[in-house]
Amino acid sequence: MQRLSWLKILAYVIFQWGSFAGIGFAQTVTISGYVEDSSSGERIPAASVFIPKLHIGATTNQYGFYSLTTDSSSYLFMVSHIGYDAQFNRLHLLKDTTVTFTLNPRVMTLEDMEVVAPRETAIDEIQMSRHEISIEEIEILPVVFGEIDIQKTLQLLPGVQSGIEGSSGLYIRGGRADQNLILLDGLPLYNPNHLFGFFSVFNASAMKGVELIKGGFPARFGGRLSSVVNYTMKEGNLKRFGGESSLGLISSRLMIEGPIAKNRASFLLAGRSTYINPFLRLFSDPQNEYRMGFYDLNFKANYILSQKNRFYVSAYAGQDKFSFLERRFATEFRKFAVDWHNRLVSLRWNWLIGDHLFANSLLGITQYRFRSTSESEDLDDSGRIAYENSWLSEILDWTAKIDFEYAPNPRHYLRFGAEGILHRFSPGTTQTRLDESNRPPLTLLQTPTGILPSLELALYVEDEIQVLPILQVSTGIRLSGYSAQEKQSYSIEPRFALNVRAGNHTAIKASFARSKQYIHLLTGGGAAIPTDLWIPSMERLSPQKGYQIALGIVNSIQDGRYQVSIEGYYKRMRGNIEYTLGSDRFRSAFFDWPDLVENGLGSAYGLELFIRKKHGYLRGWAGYTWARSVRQFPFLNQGQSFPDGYDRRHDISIVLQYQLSESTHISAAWIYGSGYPVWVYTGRFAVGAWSEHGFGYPYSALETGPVNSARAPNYHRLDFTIHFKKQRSWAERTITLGVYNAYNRQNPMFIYPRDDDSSNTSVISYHQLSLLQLIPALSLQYSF
Amino acid sequence: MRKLVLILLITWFSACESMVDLEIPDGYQSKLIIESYFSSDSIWSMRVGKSVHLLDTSDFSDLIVPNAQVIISGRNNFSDTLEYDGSGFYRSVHNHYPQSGINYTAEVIAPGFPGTISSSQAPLLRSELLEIRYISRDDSLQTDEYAIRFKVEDQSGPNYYTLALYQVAPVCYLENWGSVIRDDPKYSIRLWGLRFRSSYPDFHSYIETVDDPTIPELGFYDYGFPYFSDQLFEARTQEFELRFDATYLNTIGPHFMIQLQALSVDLFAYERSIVIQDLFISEPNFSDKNPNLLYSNVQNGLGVFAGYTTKRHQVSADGGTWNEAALGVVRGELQDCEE
Repeated sequence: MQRLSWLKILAYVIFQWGSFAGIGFAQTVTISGYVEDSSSGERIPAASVFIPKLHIGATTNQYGFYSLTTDSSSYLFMVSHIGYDAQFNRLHLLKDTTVTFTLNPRVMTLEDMEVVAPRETAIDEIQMSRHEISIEEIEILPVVFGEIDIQKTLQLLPGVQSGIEGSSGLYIRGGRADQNLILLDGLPLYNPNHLFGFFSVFNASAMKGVELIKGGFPARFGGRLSSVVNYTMKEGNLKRFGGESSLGLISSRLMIEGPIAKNRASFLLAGRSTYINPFLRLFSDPQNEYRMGFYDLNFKANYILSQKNRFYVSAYAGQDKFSFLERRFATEFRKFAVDWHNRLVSLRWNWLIGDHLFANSLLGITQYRFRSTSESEDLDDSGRIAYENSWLSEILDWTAKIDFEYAPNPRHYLRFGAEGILHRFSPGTTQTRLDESNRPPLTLLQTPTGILPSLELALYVEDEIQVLPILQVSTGIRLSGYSAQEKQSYSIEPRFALNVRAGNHTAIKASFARSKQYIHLLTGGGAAIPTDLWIPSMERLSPQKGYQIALGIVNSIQDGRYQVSIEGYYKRMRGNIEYTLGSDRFRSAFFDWPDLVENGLGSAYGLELFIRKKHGYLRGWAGYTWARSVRQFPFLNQGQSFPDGYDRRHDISIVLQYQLSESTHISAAWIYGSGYPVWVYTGRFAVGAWSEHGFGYPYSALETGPVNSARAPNYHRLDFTIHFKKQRSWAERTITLGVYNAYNRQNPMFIYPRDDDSSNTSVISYHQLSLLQLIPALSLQYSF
Repeated sequence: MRKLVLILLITWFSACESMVDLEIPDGYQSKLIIESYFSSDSIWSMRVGKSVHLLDTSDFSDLIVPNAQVIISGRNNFSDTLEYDGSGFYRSVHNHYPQSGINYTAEVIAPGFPGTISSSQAPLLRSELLEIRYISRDDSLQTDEYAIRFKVEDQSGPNYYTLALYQVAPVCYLENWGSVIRDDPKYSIRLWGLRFRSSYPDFHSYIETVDDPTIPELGFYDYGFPYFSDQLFEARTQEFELRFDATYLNTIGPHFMIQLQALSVDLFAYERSIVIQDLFISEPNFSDKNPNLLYSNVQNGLGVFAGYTTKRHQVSADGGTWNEAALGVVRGELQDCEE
């Protein structure tokens, strides 16, 4: 009997491999095309195209493309996606066919909220450690200052931490912020922060969705060790003009979209700007003036050349500015200013080459630039002297990539492609200008570190196979190469994932991914300061490399209403960098970086529990993470391993949304995190600093203890939001009221020692600085 | 720069500071603190102290170690055991002076502490005054402008220097102003620090910035007591020209002094680390989570044993030299200015 079962399995496998190789046992036909939103023409990723009778189906890719091969017959197709009415179509398939399905957005009533039965995608999909959150979900979650922040929503997921309080940073499974590949329409962004990290650069009005992959990265992604955060912009409504405007406490948004040529070409333009300066004036006086602000612009346009060819142009520009102006008397002024910007533009071509083969080509440019400027002007009887000194740091990337997706049959999906990124790092350029009366102005440029070009190339192939009805296997390999100055490096990065169904509602998943990162972020680990420098790998500064193993189980309860998952992971990293002891990190732009940093090892492991309810009056999720993250550097902590700065043992997030009526819903989030490590001083002593006359007056000096041996107080807070919607004749109006940190918890943002010096002694105590205490939120939004 | 930005942010977000009770790791072991800045100008001396647990509130006066054995040794079997002289200081009773360019070792043993050992030397310093010249008078400011040139012969390896310029003048103390020149013979003759201008691109007013790259030469900048390194003249001779405005006086003629000091790498690194640590005690460091570590060249202890060498060029406006005793230059507390 047992022997017979094995024979059956063998026969099945042979059948499958036969079909992979194109050996047909019956006449097969392929149906392929796109799934689109009927109201906007927007293509829908992750939609399901399913033949219930055969229990086979396909899921649309990031660009809304699907391909499904079956035998030549008449079948009922079910096409569905969350937030849309499922569509049933009977099709007689006689030959290979291209069909575009359109789905109608569902108008939800309270009555039908509880009767939605979704397909169990989390169980079906092979990718583990992946979260996808729609903008609709994000929009009803609690907000800070009324500003929707997608990255802050990602921080509510298990395994994801924010770093310092209030920051939009992402520290994922023991990794650092620079180890996240943050993509906007396929291009990397280097500094996704506004206002020194309090907000992210992603304008919710312009985004279609975000996908976070924490482990088991598919081979099509590479170049970072810890995660992929993949943002996709909306495409623009092909059917009608519309838009969205929002007025918040410190910023406003406006988005318009519409057809350029109906059903053929469309555009989307979104802008966001802040108006903090009136608030800052409260802290200014005639002598001292502060200014701060940011803006974002998103643009996307697409053109459907034919059913098989579509072109997209995406662009993003965002900038932050801060300045401090000091006036002394009527004749002198000093100004200090910093500004930084991200720019990107991409051209993409979706090409349906055949019924089985889809290609996506992308050309793009990304620029990140930071500049700080100090200016002074003095007027006296002898004339005017103006002096300006600015420091500029820039990264410019040219990216070209092509991805192919090939679906020979419903049980086999092949991806392959190539990517090249030419980086141009200009970490430090200084410009000095002197303008004196009666003299010609003098301007001098210096680039102490020069311009550093580097090239990353990668080839990949991913093969996803349903080997057995209960077993899916994905194998992939990414070959990457790197060249900078005299440094060449390459990497063979295997990727592996499997999904074993254990019954109708449970899947066991495992994954392995090896990756290599050729760029580093030089940072002190504090606030998201734009002067943190991105630098390429070079001689004596090796690339970072690592691998991650993950094992998990996903369970679906009550026909998919609840999804429960438990995942364990182990991550090992090499080539992590830390500043060497005593290095002058404020001026790192000027130095030979390998002399400033040390290379070390890192490891992280943890267990994540995630319970999610996606449907019904009450929706939301709860996540718990137990984790450890340690580092080991030869010259730090006497070579002993120590907790990473963002090692957090326990992390809990509970997010709830409740639909009170068809026009009102409330949401709340409670976040708890055990304290981050703090590297503290452990001893004190008196020093009499040297002076030309010998010893000076004694004062306190401090001795450091073991690295990160103390813990900051625990973090927790509760946020609330209530949304009131009303349909007006021309638009839907939403009023949002909320409160951040409702019970006014003083959470630690920075921990530091204070020395209360007296004449003969010194009393050291540790203090914490808490920001973002109880903050109200208010916004008014119109969608038209 | 970063501090400025983020202090502003704190204000804006209505920050709140509160004391926290962190668990400082137990089992703290007190260490000997050695401080000896030696030069050929003064006999051997060292201050020996001890460290205590961070939360210990002992007075500074309790942090000295009076019962240590301090032995300085050098080449040719030189050895001097320093005697305790109060307030934590140990001094040579044999009138021994350090010599520049010679490596010395200090061993300190005290009951209850691990013994420490450290080595350093006072760098060699060769410098020569080349010229002083009068440029012009500004009657509105009662000053004469001079230019002074000198050269420094750099030794191979990293070297750090400080520079100071003085005028010999009667000085008194004026409330709310501090010390001021008063052209009146009733006030004592002092060395009065002068600011100067120089086109040399690598003078730094702050020790923290000394290793920065050079700022482009844009003209003459104004300096007080700058630090500089030999990054632009490694193992070569470098000429410097300083321009300065000296108050013209009836009480005493125009006499000036250039004081040049060569600091050992140990002294420079220790001083810089103390300054940087002091900057970030009592206020949050937003850009860096980690504490600022102090440099030390003392094995099994903390502090520094480091040398420096001073060279002084005393020159009058006519190019001649002078000496402090002849001009009656004194040091110590200033007398108050009379209105």
